[in-house]
Amino acid sequence: MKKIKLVTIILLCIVTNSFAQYKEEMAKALEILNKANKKEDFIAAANKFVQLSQIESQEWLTFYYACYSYTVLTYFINDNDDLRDLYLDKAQDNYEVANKLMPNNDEVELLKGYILESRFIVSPMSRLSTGSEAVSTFKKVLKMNPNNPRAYTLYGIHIFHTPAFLGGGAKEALKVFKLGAERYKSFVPKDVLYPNWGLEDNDYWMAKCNKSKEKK
Amino acid sequence: MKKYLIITIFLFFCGSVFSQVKLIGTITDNNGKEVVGANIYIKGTYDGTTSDSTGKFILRTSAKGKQIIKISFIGYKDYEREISINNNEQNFSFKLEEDIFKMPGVQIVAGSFKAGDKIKSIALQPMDIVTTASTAGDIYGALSALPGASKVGESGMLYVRGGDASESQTYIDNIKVESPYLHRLSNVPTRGRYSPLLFNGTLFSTGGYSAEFGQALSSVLLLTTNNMPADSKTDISLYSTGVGVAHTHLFNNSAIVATFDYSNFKPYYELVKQRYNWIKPPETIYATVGYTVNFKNGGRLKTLLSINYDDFKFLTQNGYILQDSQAVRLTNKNVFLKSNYYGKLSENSTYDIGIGFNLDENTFGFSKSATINDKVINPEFKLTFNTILSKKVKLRYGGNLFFRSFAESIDSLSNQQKLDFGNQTIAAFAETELNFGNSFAMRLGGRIEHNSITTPNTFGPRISMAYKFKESGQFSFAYGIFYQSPADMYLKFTTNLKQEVAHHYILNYQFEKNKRLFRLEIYYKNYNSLVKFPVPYLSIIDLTVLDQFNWLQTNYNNSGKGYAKGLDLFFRDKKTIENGDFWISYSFLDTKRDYKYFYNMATPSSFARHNFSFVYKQWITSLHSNIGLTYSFASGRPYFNPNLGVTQFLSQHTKPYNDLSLNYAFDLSSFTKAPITLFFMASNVLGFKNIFGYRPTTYPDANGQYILQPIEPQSTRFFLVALFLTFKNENIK
Repeated sequence: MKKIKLVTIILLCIVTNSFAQYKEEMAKALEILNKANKKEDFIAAANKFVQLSQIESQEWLTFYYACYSYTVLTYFINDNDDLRDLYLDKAQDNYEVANKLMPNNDEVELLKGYILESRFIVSPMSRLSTGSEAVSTFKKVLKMNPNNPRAYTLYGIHIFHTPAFLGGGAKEALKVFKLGAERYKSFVPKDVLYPNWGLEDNDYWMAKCNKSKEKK
Repeated sequence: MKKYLIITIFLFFCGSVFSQVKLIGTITDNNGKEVVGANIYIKGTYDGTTSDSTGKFILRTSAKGKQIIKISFIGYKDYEREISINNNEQNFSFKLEEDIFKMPGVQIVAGSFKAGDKIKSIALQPMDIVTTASTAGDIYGALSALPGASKVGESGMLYVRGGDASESQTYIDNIKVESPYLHRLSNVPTRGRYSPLLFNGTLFSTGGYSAEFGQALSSVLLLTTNNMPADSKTDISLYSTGVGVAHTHLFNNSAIVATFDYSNFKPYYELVKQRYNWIKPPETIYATVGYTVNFKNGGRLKTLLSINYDDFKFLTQNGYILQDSQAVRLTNKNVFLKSNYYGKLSENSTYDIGIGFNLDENTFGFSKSATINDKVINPEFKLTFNTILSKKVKLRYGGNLFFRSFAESIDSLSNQQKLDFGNQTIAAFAETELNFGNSFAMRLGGRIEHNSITTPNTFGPRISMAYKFKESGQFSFAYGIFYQSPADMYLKFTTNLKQEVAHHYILNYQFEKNKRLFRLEIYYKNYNSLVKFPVPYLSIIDLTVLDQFNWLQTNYNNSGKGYAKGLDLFFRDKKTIENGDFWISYSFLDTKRDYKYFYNMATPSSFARHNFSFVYKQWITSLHSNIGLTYSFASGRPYFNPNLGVTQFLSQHTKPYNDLSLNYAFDLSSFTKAPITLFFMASNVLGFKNIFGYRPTTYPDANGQYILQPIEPQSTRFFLVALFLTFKNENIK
């Protein structure tokens, strides 16, 4: 009896310990990500999540954040389009694993849209169809979960950059950002590790829209 | 004792009270340069770090014994090594190897084209074409502002590096378009049938193009249709010469795009005086339907149908044809259908089945004295395969079948004649792309063709190679042999002709950085086996008509030859001016031919020695406007002066050509709710008096002199006013 108790205690220790360690490491990695404001920071964040994903290969969040980090970092590369595409390829690989582990999830699907949008931004004029696919994905996410605030932010950014005569522009984008702002207020993530980004971006873009309205 | 044991074991699993050891090191690439931001970790553990700005790292780990350390960085092969970790600090030095397949490598540029959208050379996006002043949304007009293209204002067609317009072929989704231009008679400029907005890519190759395409002595223009639209919407265009409606409807996995355009130049010609005497100004009806489907298995179907009706009548000028002046009418009916299915055979292999159908019917009427009816029917079947054999080797191969039937009936007061012929073409091509390291790539290919109406069967090799310098651009070279069947007007009289042939040699240097592109290309083309026929000097027949209607049935042979050599310079900058984009293009062309009716080697009248274009576009946010400016210059073009002897054939030159065109687009959507754009365009705003050439009168005057009449543009300036509206059928709520 005593032996079994001992073994059970030890086993419980291992399990809770490794889960605790996972949470601890994820928290550390998320801190790096949340503080990141330049390319090198996002690379360090992506590396951390990749390190975590190789040991926690069943945790969709490690792949989710690796994907997210790789995608965001492409916006800090201005002089090398091929490099941006390579990072987006890496983001895509991580998205695919996240999608396998957590299918039909609106946050994961939104990542897919984010990657498409980022590819489009690399060369908008020659990738018009990729831009269209990105928009289709944002709409799909909104169908899956109309309360996902990040979907509004990403969609709004796309609209902001679309020429007005094609239905875009700051005025149209502001409408979408406003819808997003409301959703951010009421959004509660299922877990402290779950995706909860985007509010800062939404505020930033709303301000930009308002500024361009005044510029008239 | 046991308790202590339990506690120790407990702590062993739960605590992180072990000794951590430091692993220090540097990461470099195989050139010794430090790698910043590399990922370094011990497999199976949470211990990892990132290399700093000097390539150094410090990894703290509590793992012990035999472990595997893994290092990865984008563009390099992942690196793993077994290490032994004890309690001592250790120093490492790791070298990463470049990953050939992943590193952005070299791409073949010289004259030939590149697949995909990472096109850094001469590729125009639809908005490029629409916003370039002087083009009025015509693809071919925009291309004439690029290097390699000659400005032939009275024609409006594409003349590339000393090659006639017929030497350039147009493809939509790799299916040949038999008649991409609206039909116009000589000296009335034409334009392309297709709106640039139907396509998401326009790739213009000035020579040395892929083995997949044949039957073009000079160049190919590749247009790719859009894939899947994002929204359902309706576009309406109102312009000074017509109206257009386009509707896009998006379903779950498919989309339909339908367009309808009606244009009539009558109101415009009544407002703006024209030099030509129009009895019936051009009237055009044009409709297209496009259907795209994405299948669940990853396959895709893209179909496009276009139907065109075009009609006009005008009074020709003195000295034209046989009588002093007569009314000429041209009616054109055109149907083009193409369908492509893209499928996947395996992870590394895809295929493309294409079907094309062209029907082009022209009826020429001359003052009711003669009617000529031409009908060309041209179906095509094409099958192409793409296979990735390995990281270094890609293969593309396939074949096509063309059937071409030409039928002409000439009905005049004195004569009734029927001329027709059919040509079946069987062709096969294969092309392989080889990558050696990250700096060198090569493309080798060949095309074989059998044409039933000409001899011999032809084999055209294509070779191109490119070398990329680390930071300073790339160099490429291309060579190929290109064949083309003689024009219909010769084939309808004889089946004894051979394929015309051109050898291309192209050398290219290109550098792109920070949205600026510089490109220099030098080329030499050698023409042989061109159609030639003897014509007595100063025969009564007007030379321009000879080119078009061919009243004489003389002995056609393939003894013609020629050359073209030159240099093209291109510089494009999308960065220096904020929200601005400009390009400068200069071409030097030295070309001579002894073909058709020519009496000796001479530069054909379409070609100027120097061609220069400056194109500038600027978006002004505060004014919600886009401004475009195009300045074009071409040195004088040769013309035939029959008052001089045969040794002076085509020796005289017109004065240089100048044109400054402006366009202005105003975005009204900031004032209205719907997206509306107002568009203005004016060509030749400074009113340069350009002369494209001279046409001699058919008969000499009383003093035995032929009077030379200048060939001038239809009008000094062309104006266009348009309004574009878009209604979207879907909005998020």
